[in-house]
Amino acid sequence: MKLYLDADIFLALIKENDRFKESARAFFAKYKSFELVTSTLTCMEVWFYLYRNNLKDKALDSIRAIIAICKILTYDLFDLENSIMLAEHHNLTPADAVHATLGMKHDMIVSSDTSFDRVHGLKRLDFTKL
Amino acid sequence: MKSGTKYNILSVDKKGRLHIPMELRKEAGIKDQVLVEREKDILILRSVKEIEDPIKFLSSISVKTKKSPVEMKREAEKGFG
Repeated sequence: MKLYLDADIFLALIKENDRFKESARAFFAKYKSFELVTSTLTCMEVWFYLYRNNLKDKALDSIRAIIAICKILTYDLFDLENSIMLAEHHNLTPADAVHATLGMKHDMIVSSDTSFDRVHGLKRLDFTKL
Repeated sequence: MKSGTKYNILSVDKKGRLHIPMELRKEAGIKDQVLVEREKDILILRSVKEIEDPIKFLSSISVKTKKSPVEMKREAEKGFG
């Protein structure tokens, strides 16, 4: 099974100890043998978050950690066109629309974001409910 | 000249390859990849640390926030601004 990871699971990992962080850790322990993929957009979002929180010195190693955990996809102009349509039709943010587009190419999107439930045909695995 | 700074002249071959002597690589902690920074005509090679346990590394960052991961994602979507 191929699972596409939304940025939120990585953001859950980098936050202070709480139930979200524990859920993210539990997910990676349980699904480590699955094919895990994410995208350059996730890497950007993690970088943005670290930058905005005065942790830009952690960005490079964080991206390398993400690369060590899963395969990184890029997206092309067709993906962007599809994402714009998804954003329009399902009221998604541009970033979530790209994640949804890439998630639909895989068996499931792993995310705690219920916005993705509005997208017909996109199955979501909520790592906070494991 | 900064104290403790070492200088070496290395050759670059026709294909642009630079051979960094083992001693220098060891001292700088360089393994199979380097990060190259360029500031005009100055190149700085930095060792890239191997992340032995990526989950442990990301967990160690431990950002203090009461936000949920989805709220953190919304903040990230605001970009560098």
